[in-house]
Amino acid sequence: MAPGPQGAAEGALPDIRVIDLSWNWAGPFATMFLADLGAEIIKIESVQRPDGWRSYRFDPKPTEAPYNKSEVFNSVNRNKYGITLDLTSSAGQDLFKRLIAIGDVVIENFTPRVLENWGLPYAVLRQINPGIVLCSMPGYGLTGPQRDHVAYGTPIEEMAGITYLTGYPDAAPQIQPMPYGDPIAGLYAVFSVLAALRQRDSTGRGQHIDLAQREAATSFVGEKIIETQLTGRPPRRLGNRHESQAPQGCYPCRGQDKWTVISVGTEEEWQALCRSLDHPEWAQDPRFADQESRQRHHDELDLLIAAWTQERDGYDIMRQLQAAGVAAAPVLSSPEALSEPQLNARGFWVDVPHDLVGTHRYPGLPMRFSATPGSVRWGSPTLGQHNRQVLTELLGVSPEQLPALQATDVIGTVPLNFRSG
Amino acid sequence: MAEGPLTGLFVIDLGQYISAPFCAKLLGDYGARVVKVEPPTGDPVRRFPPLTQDGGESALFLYLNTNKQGVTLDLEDAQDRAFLRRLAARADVLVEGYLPGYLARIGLDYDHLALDNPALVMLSITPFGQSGPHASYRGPDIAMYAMSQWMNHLGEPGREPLKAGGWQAQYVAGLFGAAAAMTALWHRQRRGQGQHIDLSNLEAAICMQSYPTTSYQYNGVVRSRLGNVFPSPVLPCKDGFVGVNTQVVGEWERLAPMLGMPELLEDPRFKDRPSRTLHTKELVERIGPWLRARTQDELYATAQEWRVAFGKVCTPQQLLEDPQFASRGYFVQAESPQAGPLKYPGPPVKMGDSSWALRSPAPRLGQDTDLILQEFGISRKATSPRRRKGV
Repeated sequence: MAPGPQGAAEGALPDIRVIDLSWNWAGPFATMFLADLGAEIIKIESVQRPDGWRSYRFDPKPTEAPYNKSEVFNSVNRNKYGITLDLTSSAGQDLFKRLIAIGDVVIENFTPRVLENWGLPYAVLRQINPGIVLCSMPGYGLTGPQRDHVAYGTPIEEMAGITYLTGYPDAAPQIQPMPYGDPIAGLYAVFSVLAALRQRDSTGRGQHIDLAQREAATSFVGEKIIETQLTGRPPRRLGNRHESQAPQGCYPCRGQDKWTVISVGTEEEWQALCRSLDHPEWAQDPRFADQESRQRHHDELDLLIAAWTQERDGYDIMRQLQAAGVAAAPVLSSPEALSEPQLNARGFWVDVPHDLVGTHRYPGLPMRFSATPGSVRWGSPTLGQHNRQVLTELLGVSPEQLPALQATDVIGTVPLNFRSG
Repeated sequence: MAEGPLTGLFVIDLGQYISAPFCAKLLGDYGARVVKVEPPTGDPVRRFPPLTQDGGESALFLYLNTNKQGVTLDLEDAQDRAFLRRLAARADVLVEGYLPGYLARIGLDYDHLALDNPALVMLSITPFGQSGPHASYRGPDIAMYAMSQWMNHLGEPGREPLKAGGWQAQYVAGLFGAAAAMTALWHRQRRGQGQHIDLSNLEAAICMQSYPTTSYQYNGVVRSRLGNVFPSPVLPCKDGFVGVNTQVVGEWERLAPMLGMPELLEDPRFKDRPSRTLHTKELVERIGPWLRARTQDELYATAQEWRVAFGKVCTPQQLLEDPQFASRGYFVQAESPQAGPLKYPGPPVKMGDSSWALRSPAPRLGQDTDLILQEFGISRKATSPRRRKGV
């Protein structure tokens, strides 16, 4: 299928076709990674149930077709072909099965009942295409007493033991500022799908991947599982402090709600900090003689450091301390991150166009491949944007059949709950 | 022995601390052979507390270095560098995290190693990437939250912002690395060509934030931290904390009758999401006592009956005792010389019964050096004076 405008740089994965049933963030995060590197992603929504992330917009002004103008949705769906199919209808299921026959991977993040209710469990998909890799991403797994439980990124983070570790020592635990379980699961989906395809190269067979989001997220606190067996105690919430190294913290700097982090790892760095702040006497102070002492007197040390930082600009602090061999970094807001010099020098922010909202700068991939850089080819699809192209070019549906499919809402471009009577 | 999907791959883990070793661990746990190369003084993580009873080993090191053989090499020594080049010539993947420029200075960067092994996939994970004005800056874990917006959006307004607990940014980078390595291996399978992957820890942390920078461009909204508020406050209950999650459309409407408080749906202070955020204090005053009378398990179960995704804020011990994890055999037991039997997290992704295995615990420092010297046909005579002394 003609893939649309080509970037100059080929990705590593142009011969992989993914049928993407996933929605919100976990699955779409994975398929955007694959799409950026050249894989062909057929994203399937429906007019009955468009992707849930289309409903999040942080702009109170009313607008036409808001489901196509969500910055949240548009951030994670570029480079994908967007179609709609009503998978509760036999016409929709038939078209879906024809996609399976020519696909390599299916990704979904529903509870296990959903595919079963549609008559499309792995056993059926495998019969159509023995090489198909189905990556299921339920909250708690395809088996077990919690198999059918509702879940999403934030409860997953809580249930995986990550929330417990985050927060001020004197307050309740805090969740991350994004539904953190989702992108963790999404990255494991990329890893495991590529591993399964590698395995298929030698066995000729696909498989059904059981990616329980909670099991994936728990891998990010694996050392705490070991620690608790060694110490017999739960971990402490440390705020911004390091388990052993000191000083480490977040200190106020000049300006409204401006902060800088400073982290000293070795005695050498401690000496360098004292010299750079022009306080050589701190290096002689018995309260700060070594790491353990500095931990015991951390509150006092924090006050001394803050008295210095609060008169200075965060970037100036970073330049001065980094030059002296000490880790310091400003706490950046979203606008500041967009203009951050290092990120811009590396071309991290990529221009992504969109038919309705225009071109904006989005996060790119966080790595550079020397041989297969990948590229942005087009922006996130409007609902059902590629129905005609995918159905006629990929599945050989004749254009005359499309109006009937549209009339019965098997396909479409406007969600049912947006149509006026 | 059953085969994992990555059986047959040979990986060199030249990394220290967390990101690169975690990436190599993932490859090893799913079947690759991994050789971990450490300096003679060892990976500094070996000394991160808590240590095992005999003071021998760090929990973090034990976790991150399963399924790896252990070799010590002094990269300042010419003979040891030559040995590493011999290993790299046969490797499929090499993961490292040195300050940009160091490996180039000693002739062990991608340009050099690819001469002997054009199919090599080399992955470099650094705080800021290999190039740019800040490439040589120190970027410990806390700096990643600071510069990625993650910290700016976490914590209470009017108080210092927070980093995430544990080592989240390090794990994020390591996992991005594993995904990138698999991508490069796919390309290599088809085209026979290796490549260098330059991964920035900071950029990885920003990718985990997704949309606040986009929101800002669409409508000028500058996100700030709001603290512990609706739609997802973390609140005390009888035996711990519970996440009262109402992010999904419809969840709040189910929560109110679940609490036996349908009148909340008519209260103008709680009429929509922004109002509930604004009036979190009043809302928590209303529902707090109801929550505090019930345990985490009771609240989680009741919420599931109403299709509301409460989260129990779990401790590691709770995870070890969790029935869902038990039914899936998630934790595996392994014996290590340093610490006796311990339970480890098992596969983060289940890919059939035999895809993941904890075949060997983390290596003691240099435990396989002699074995591997022999395997690569390097006699002790040919090695550095330090090594001939047995150090």
